[in-house]
Amino acid sequence: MRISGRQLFWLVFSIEIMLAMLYSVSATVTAAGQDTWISMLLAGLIGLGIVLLIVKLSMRYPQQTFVQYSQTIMGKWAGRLLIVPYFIMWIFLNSMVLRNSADFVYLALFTKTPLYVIMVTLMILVVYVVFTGGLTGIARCGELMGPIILVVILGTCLLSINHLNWHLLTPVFWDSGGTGILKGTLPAAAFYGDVIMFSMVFAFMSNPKQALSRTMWGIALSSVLVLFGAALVIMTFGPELPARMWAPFFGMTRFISVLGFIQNVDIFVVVIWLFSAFIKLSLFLFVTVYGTAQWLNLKNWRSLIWVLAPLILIFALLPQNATAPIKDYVQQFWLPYVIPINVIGIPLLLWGVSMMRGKSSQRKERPE
Amino acid sequence: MSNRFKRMLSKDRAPRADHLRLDDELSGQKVSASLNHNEERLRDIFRNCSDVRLRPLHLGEGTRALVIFVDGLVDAKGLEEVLLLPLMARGQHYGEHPQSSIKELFDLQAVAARQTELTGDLSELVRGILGGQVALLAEGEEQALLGNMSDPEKRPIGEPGTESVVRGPREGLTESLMTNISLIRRRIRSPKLKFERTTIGELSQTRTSIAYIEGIVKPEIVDEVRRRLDRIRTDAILDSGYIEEFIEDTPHSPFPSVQNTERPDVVIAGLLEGRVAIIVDGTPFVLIVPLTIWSALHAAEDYYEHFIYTSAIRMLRFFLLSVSFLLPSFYVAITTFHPQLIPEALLLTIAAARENVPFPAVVEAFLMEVVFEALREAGIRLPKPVGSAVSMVGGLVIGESAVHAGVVSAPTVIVVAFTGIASFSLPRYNLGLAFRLLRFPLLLLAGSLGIYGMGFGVIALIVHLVNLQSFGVPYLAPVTPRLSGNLKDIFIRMPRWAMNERPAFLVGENDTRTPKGQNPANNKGADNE
Repeated sequence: MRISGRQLFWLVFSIEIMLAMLYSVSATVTAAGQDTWISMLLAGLIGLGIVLLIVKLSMRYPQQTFVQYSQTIMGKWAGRLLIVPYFIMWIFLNSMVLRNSADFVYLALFTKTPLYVIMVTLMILVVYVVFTGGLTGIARCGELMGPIILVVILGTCLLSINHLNWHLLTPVFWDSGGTGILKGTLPAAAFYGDVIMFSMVFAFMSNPKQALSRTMWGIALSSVLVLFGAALVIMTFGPELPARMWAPFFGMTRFISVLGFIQNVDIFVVVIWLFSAFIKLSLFLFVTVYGTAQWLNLKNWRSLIWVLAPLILIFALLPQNATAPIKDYVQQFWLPYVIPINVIGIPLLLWGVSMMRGKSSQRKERPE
Repeated sequence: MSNRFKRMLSKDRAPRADHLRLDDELSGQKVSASLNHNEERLRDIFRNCSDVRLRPLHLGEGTRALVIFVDGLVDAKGLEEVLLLPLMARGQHYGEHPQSSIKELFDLQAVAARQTELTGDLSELVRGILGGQVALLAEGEEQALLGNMSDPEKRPIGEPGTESVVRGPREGLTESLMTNISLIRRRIRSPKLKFERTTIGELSQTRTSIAYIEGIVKPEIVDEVRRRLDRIRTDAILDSGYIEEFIEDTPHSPFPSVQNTERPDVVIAGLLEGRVAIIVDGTPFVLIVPLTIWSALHAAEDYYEHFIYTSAIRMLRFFLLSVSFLLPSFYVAITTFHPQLIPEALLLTIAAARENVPFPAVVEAFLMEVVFEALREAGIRLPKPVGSAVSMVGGLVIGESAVHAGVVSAPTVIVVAFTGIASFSLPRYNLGLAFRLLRFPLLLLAGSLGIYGMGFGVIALIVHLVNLQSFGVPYLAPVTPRLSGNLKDIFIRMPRWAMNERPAFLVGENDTRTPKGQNPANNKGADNE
C-alpha cells in the first residue's frame, strides 16, 4: 500500500472540508459575530501549526507509523501505554463521525427511514473499501471524489453571490474584539484536530518528502474555503441567526435561485457530504484497524475490521439526538481532552524525547 | 513404495490431458522410410475425412511419392502448376537413379512453394496438412516435405460493422489471421512490430498471434499475456470472446478488462500506445490489453477529426455516459423522495402526467427499462425485414398507446428513451453494456432510498472501479492514480503536436511520441522568411 503526494492532498482536503464547512460557523459565530471569518483564518493557522508538529514528528521516522515510532521513542511498554488514549479517540471519533454523517443525511433527506438503515449502509460501504482496497483504495477514491467536492463547493459559493449583503460583515473587529475572535477560534480550530489521524498515514507515502507540503496545502485549501463559506453565511443570515442554525452553510445553499430554474441545489451538497463522509470514515476506520493491529502486534489487520466496525456502529447508536455528537461531544470530550492530550500533548512529548535521544535509527521495516 | 504412491497422487492431481489431443495420440511417432507404411498410417489417421486428398505420383523407375493436402485449404491451381506438374515432368527425367535425385529434391527443398519445411515427426506432419500445407512423401525418405500453399476461402475486406466512422480508414479486419496481420503490417513497416505465434484449442488448433511493438511495450505486459494464453486449455476457440473470458483479470466484474475492435487502425493506435493485441484466426475481433475505463469515451474518429470538435464530443459522451447510468434512478429518486428539487412548473406537469398511473415511479421506470431492453434485443436478433415491425410496435404501441392508456406516464417514456439513446452513443459496446446493466440495481436503490440510495450505489461502484485492474494497469489510470501527470487524451483530446508522450502507465521506454515544438502557429514566421 503506497499513496502519492497528490493523493495525500486530496485525502486531507476532502476529510477536513465538509465537517468544518457545515458546523464550525454555528460554533464560532456566538463569540465572534460578523468577525467569524477572522476566527476561521486564525483557526486555519492553528490547523497548519498542528500539521507542522505532527509531520515534523512523523518525518523523524518516515518509515514508521505513529504506533511504531511511539514505541521506538518511549520503549516498548511505555510506547504501548501511550497509544491507549489514541485507541479511545479512534473509536469515538469514528462513531461520532458516523453518527454525524448519518444524522446529516437523515435530516436533509429523510423523514420516515430509520436512522440505523443509513448508518448500516454507510458502514457497509466503508468496510467494503477498507477490506478490498485498503489505504490504496481509499486514496484513489479520495483522488477521484476530492475534485468533485471542490467543484461543488466552489459552484455553490458562486451561485450564492447574488443574494449577499456585504454590509452584514461590518463593522470589522469592533463588536467582538480580540477576545471574542480568539474565543471563536477555538471551536473552529478543533475541527482541524483530527489531522492527527494522518500520523498513521505518512508512513505509506511513496515519497515521504512531500508529506509536509501536501498536508499543509490540503489544510490551507480547506480553511480558505471554510473562511469564504463563513463569510458567505454571515452575508446571507447576518451575525445572529447562524448560531441557532443546525448547519448554516447547508441552509444557505437552500437560498440559491438562479434563473428561476437552478433551485434547491442543496441535494448536491448532500451528495458531496456523502463523498466526504465516506472518505473520512474509511480513512479513520483504516487508521483504527491498522493502528490497533500494530498496537496488538497482529499480522492480519483486516480481520480486526469485523470486530471494530460493529463496535463503532454500536457506539454511534448511543447518542440521543443529532446535536449531541456535534455539540456535546466537541465540548465535553474533544476540546477538553483530545485536543490537549492526543493532538498536542503526547506528540510534543514524543518530539521532545526524540530530540533528546537524537535521531533514532530506522530499524523497523516500512509497513506493507 | 511411498514414492510410487506419491507419484500416483501427483499424477491424479495434475490436469488430465485430453484424449483428443493430436500430440498425445501421435507423440513420438516418426515418418518411416517405407512409403507404404506411411500411406497406411495416414489413411488410418484421416479415415472418413473426405476432404483430405492423398495423391500418389510416380517419380521415375518404380519410385513412388505421395502428395497429401486438404482440398479447399490449398490453392488448387497453384498446386497443380507448381507442384504436381514439375514433379511429374521431373519424374520422367530421373530415369535410372531416381533415389539420389529425390534426396536432392528433399535436401534442397526444391519445391516452388512460398515456404517449405522438412519434418520427420508424424504429428507435426498431420498438423501441417490440416493447417493448409501440402505434404510430399517419397519412397525411402524418412522426412516429409511440407510446402505452404495455403489459400483458404475468405471474405473480402469490408467496412467494419461495429465501429463506423465518418472520416478515417474504412478497412475492417476479417476472419483470416493472415489478412489481419497484413492489414496491420502494411501500416507499420518496422521490424519492431512483432507477431508471436501460438496455437490454442486442442481440437481447433486455432492460430493466434500476439502483436506488440518492441521498445514501446512494457515487457511485463507481454509476458503476462503469454502466460495467460499458455494457461488456456479448451477444445476449441470460435471467437476471441472465448479467449477474453480466460484471460480477464476480474471475471466476476461486469466491467471488461479487455478491449475488442474490428478496426486495424484502432489496433495499431493501441500498439503505438504500448498495448498488446491478440489476433485470433476465425474472427474479425482483435483483443487489445490492457483496457482502461476511459476508453469508453474514445472513438477511432476522435483522432482524425479536429481536436476542438473532438474534445467537445468527448465531454458530450461523458455526459451521456452519466445519463445512461444515472438518469432513470435520478428521475425515480426525485419524483418519489425529493419533489422539492423539481422547479414548480415542471413539477406540476410531471404530477399531472403521473396522476393516473397505477404504479409507483420505480416500478414504472423498471418496467419501461425492461421493455426498452427487450426491444433492443429483438431488434438485433430478428432478421432485417422484420426489424422495422419491431420498431413500429415499439414506437407506437409501447410509447404512444401506453401513455394514452394511462399505463405509463409520458415523462417516464422520455427518460427511458433518452437513457437508451445515451447508452448507444458510447463507442465501446462492452463498456456500455456494463453501465447499462448496472443501472437496474441503481434504479432499485434509488426507489428504496432516494438520492442517498443513488449515492450509495455510486460510491460502491467507485470503490469497485478503483480496485479493478487490467493486466497490472489500474482501471481508472491515469485519472487515479495519476501516474503520468497529464490528462491530454482522456476527457478532451489535445492536438497531435501537443501530445508529446505516450501514456506513462503503459509504456516501458521510448515514451516520446512526437517531439515538442511542432505547433504550426509557431512555425509560420519561419515559413514566411
